[in-house]
Amino acid sequence: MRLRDELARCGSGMSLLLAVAWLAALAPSLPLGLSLGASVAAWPGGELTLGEPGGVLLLEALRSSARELAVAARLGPAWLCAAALVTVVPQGALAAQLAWPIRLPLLLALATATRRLPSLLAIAAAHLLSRVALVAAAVFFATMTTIVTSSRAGELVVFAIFAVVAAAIACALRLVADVAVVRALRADVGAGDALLDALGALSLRAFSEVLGAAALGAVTFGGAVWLAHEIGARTPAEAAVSATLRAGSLAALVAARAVALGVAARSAT
Amino acid sequence: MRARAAAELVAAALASMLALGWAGRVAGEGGHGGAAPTLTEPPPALPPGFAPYREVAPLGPAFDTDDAMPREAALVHHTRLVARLDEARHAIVGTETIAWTNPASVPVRELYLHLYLNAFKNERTAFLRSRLGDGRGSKMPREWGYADVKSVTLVDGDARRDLRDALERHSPGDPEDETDLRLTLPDAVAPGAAIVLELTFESKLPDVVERTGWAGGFHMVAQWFPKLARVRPDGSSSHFTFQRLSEFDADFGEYDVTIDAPAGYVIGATGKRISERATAGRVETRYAARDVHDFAFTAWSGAVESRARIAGVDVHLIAPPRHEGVIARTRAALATGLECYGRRFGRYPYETLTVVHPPPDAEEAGGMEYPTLITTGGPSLSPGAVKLTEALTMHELGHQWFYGLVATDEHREPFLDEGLNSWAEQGCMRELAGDGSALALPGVTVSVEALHRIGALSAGRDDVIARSSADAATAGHYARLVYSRTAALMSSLAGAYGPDVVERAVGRYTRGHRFGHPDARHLLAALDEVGGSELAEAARVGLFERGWIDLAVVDAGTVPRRSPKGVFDREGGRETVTTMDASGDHDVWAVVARRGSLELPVDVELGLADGTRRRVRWEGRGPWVRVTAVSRSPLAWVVVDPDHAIALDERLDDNALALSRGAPPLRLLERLTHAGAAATLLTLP
Repeated sequence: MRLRDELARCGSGMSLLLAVAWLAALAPSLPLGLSLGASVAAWPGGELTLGEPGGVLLLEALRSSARELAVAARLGPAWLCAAALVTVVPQGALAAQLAWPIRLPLLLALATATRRLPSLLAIAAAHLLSRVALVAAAVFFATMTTIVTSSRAGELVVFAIFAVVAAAIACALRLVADVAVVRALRADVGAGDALLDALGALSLRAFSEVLGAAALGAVTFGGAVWLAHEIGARTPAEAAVSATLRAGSLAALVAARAVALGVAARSAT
Repeated sequence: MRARAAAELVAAALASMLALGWAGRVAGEGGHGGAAPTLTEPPPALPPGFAPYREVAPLGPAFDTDDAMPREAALVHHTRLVARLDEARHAIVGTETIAWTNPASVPVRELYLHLYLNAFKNERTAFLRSRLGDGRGSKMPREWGYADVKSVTLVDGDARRDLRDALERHSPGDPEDETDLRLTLPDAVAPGAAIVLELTFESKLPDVVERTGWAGGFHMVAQWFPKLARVRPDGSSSHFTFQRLSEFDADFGEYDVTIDAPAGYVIGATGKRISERATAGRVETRYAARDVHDFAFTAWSGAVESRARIAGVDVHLIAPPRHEGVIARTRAALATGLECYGRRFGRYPYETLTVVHPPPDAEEAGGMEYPTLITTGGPSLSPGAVKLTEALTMHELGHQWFYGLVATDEHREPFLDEGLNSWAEQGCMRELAGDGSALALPGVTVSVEALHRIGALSAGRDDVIARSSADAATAGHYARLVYSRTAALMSSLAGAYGPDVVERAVGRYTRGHRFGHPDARHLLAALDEVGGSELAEAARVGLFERGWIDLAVVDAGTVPRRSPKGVFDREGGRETVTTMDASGDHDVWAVVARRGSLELPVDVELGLADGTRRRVRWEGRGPWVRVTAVSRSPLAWVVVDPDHAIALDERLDDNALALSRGAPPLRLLERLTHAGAAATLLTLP
């Protein structure tokens, strides 16, 4: 059975899992975003921003966020476990389905993934690391572009370079994790066409990460520079355009991944 | 079978968690044995009305410049020390000759000697018994330190009298501690009369725990010799059990110190090097220091030293190898600091300054101040954006003024040195690095002021600032209240009454009381003298009464001006007006509240829909104020304290009220997309 068929076969189950995972990840992100924004949301538009010289308001925002998220912070380990589960289990299920020569219902795939717990735990660590790095890069860049309201294009270039480098490092970690998946599977069930297909697909997917990160960086960076030069001060219109650009960059990221996965599937047939 | 085993594993884990939780609850309820918990409360805070600063004689504007500043201290002692470093045992064998003159106005018969190194002698010392949480000085030494007085002799011409038996432990309420010794003299010493004491001693350094000790070939030799406690004008002594947060208090004197160390060791010390003599693999280095109240030195094998003339001062820098970058940054901080502190608080009076950057395995020796010698720190590869080395250097340099030259009682009133110095450091760091005095990333700057504000507010109103170091609840409390809250309070006073006013007041205090051992009354008196009673009272409330403040815009609105409608009884009879004529003007209003006990003047700014702004000053006395104005345009927003002048303002998210609701949803949308980006990156396969 070729990879394309496998992807099609397990697609619906994976979609469900990813939807749950997305919501689970969004849950802690939302209050963080809201509480960070609350400190400046009360101030008149364009009057003060988190990037005010001296950092008084920035630290105030972090302080109030910490206060408001105290409960969430105490649940940090729980969130971490949940994040591990929602990120690793789909990966394990996908890998198991790709590698198993017979059709497996979703629950069985999960059980199969669980059966290879030691391998999966090692993989989980690598995956988490790569994802944390990616998220850190994204959050850093997003925060910087939110904070910076001047027309200092040079500073934005520095942010963009940082974001792209961080994303590249994250992608490299991701590639290592993917290779670890394949090796673990190879050790368990032996080499086969499906495994080779999986290796090719995963490598291409890692490549897609780079493409996606570049798309994210380029679109957001371009938008931020344009905003800085064309609008200057922080205004509601600027915020709206910034939001649109960020949504656009996300769409570009998703599209780049979809294209890469499509290429991977085609190459595997 | 495996699935069952996994299920059993999960079940067992859950059971364990539940059991732990249950056990914790039982333990928390005190269901098992042991003594009943004890309650320890702080001593009563100083009552309102303490610090009768109005009784202090005014200094006068003469002290706004250096011209009238005292040039030298009244020397209470002349101390000669000969110290031989036993580098293998990390010990000092020494002799000490003290020619002491009674500075009090009454006869004195009891003197007190501090043996600070005994704080590291065993686990029962007050220092090592401290339960103050983590932080500096919280680790137990691997190798104990102690100081033994071998002999004490009273010398009167050719007559010598052994006083060893007259020396006894005297740590009030703490018989196990040996850091505070009482020496009862055979006869009282009359005011102005002098005696000579000779001591021999051996001081064993601990490995570096806090401030002093050794690490490999590095020796930071501080608080190392039997040291006379300061004698106050009333004849009492400023002696105390040395505790973890304690610092020092001593009389000014003159030191003549010979350090005998192995050849090849780099020596740096308080004062000026006056001679060097090599003898059989060792070197005797002699230092002289005048108008100082302590003497410390480093003897360090493998250090790199450099010398520079900075702002008219001979600076001796001693650091580990491969720290060139950090040393360059240290020099830059010193250049700014010596000029900045000198201009603000009186010129630096000494010819020399020694700066020691301890090695990485002796970081706890860094960040300390002694007369004309400071220790700094920071990793060799720390990024330039993070101003740790600069801030640390600037802080310790500032101590040359705050405690060093004024010589306040660090044990009893630590806010007068650490607190005022933290505030003073902010200003000089701003001169060095601008808004990014703590962190300077492209587009994001964080100042030392902002950091102190967060520290100050995290301590909240847990305790008064003006407490003895011995009464701090935790090391964290001490840091946040004494350092940060004092700094934030002074910043707030400067923001409210003007930076120039507060700078001039503190400058007058430091110049007028140079070498003078002032206390809180003298600081408040200077604030009163320069800035008026309201400034001094605000400072007193902030220091002694847990003063706090939260400024908030409570409500605001706009009412268009128009002719009134309704039923009116007029001369021509009752008239009912049903239509209104708009004048085009608007009555705009806002209510601003001041919560808390600190009354500070503050600006309120009104922003109108046409983009114009109006700013008004509120003296901040009542609990709230209504601000009104007539304008051609409706009110768009109100901000109280738009310049963040009041650093102690507990919340900033209530300082503004925007009547236009357009911006927040868009900002919210923007941030939601940020969250979405993070979530997507987290979960995409």
